[in-house]
Amino acid sequence: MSAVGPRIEILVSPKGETTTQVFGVTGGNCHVLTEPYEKCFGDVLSTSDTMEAYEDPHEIEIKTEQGDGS
Amino acid sequence: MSHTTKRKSAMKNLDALKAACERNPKAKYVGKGSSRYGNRCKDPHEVQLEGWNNRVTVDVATGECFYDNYNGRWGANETLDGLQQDYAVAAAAAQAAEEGHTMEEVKLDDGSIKLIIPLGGDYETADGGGGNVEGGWGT
Repeated sequence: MSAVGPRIEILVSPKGETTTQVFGVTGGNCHVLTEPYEKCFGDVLSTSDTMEAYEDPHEIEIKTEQGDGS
Repeated sequence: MSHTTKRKSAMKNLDALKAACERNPKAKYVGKGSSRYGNRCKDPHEVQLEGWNNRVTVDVATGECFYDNYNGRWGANETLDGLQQDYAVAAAAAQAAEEGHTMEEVKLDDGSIKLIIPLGGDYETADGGGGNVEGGWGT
């Protein structure tokens, strides 16, 4: 099942091209979320903002769970 | 969604390259070095692709691939494309794990792979909490 909450979706074409999108997050901070992934991939072919990027930004709190290594 | 970025895979992460070779039954990581292209690379690593006469050299310092497949006669371009696709999946999986996120992988009918990385945490979302799915690629 696909997640429906705030998320990053990456489409990897059969040729290895990647298209990264953020869903469910408003404001320009979405670039911060995707940048680490985009750096993994390589040269930018194109970038375009969508309407959500121009909506009022909300506070974003990122919670990550770190394993304790055990 | 708020922005879209399109990139061509450059294979700069050695661990992801090795993971891609483990994922891909048509690719085998051979090792560090390259007798043919070593002088052109800073950090060359060789991969043997199924059906290819010559090994592919990946310079993980730049992400570039060096190879001679005689325009497809000595090895199918699609096989290298497949390695780059698997590399992208492996690199994304490594990044998601580093950030403590899970990653769902969905194979699409056109051969593409959709990766879904739930961000978790508390987000103010564009549609009041449910996210939106328009513009998605389907499953």
